[in-house]
Amino acid sequence: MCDNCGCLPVDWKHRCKDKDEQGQGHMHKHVHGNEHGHEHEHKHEHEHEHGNEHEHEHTHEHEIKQKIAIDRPVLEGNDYLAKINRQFFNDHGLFVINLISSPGSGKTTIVEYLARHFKQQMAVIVGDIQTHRDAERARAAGCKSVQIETLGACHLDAHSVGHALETLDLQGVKLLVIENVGNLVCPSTYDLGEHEKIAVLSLPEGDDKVLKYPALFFRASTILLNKIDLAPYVKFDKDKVIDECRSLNRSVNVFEIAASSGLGMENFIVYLSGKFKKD
Amino acid sequence: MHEFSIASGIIDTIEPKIADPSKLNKVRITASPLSGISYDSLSFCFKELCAYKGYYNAFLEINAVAVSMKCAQCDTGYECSVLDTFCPVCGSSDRNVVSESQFSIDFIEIEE
Repeated sequence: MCDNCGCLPVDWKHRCKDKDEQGQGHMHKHVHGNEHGHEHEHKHEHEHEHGNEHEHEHTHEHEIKQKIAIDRPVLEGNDYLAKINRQFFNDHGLFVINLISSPGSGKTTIVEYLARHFKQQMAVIVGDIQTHRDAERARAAGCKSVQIETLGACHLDAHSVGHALETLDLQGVKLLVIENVGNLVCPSTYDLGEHEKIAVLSLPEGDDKVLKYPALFFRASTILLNKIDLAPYVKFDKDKVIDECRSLNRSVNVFEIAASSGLGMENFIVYLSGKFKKD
Repeated sequence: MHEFSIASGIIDTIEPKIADPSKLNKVRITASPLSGISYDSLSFCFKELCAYKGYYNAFLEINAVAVSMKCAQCDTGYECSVLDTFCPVCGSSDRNVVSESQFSIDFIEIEE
């Protein structure tokens, strides 16, 4: 069992392109073995069903002797590595965005459009469960790219991004796009060191997603409403979506785009260009 | 899906404080709807991981706190335990999120 979502093989290591099969230098801590039983002893008597119920309303007979304060963030380990990544980005004059959305919303098409515009001033780190397809698409569109295959994990974390940076030629790069694993839930929790989280929501996904997945839309500073050219064909209340985004983040920027045709992309490019100094 | 990773991170943080794994009783964390986790799933993953690591008597207590909001239209302060509830006075969704996203390990309890 892997320590991300419990669905990975025992010897899993994430693979960064150009790394060897052993994931050179990767220091994953994995807790493996999904065959463990639950024959453990309890001094007190109560039924453990090992389900989700965990209220512990019963009275424990244990005498509590020590209460030890921890007072540390749950994601401290990731946050520490994200801080190192952010320092690296700042030291190298990179503006970094973390693109997050559900699968199929058009993240890679957006990346391709940006790559055709920014060319070698842009690099991409792409996360997917498997294949190098998106990194290859970005490269074919004209920018530098590296693929992270998570092999099951549902999100990128600061650690995997840090290793991906080791394999990326950043000479001349001003804009780094991290295209996260397609998922509206988990990626929003992890700081990768980016300067902005950007959420992509496409019209065919429906107009009910913002409050269903609030953590992402709370943290995203920019929303890209993609496939806007499909508005005549799908039911999508754009004003409602924007209102709900603003109910979680009043200062959010919204761009209406259709990355496949380029509609609205010039505004987004102007926005990004304002974030870094072009040569 | 990422709750196993989070449970693993919690144990990594508290592990140096624990001399005898079998004596760990309670781990208390604070989380909010902005933490982006399923409480049930996290408790389940934590329990599974503890059983594997020898923390046989440990359980996770989640102090689930609401998110504080302030209506931008009528200035009413209110709490949200789910984020699709709006101002109880004027019904507006126009609001400021007052509280930061809380997601911390508060304390552990060790038994004798």
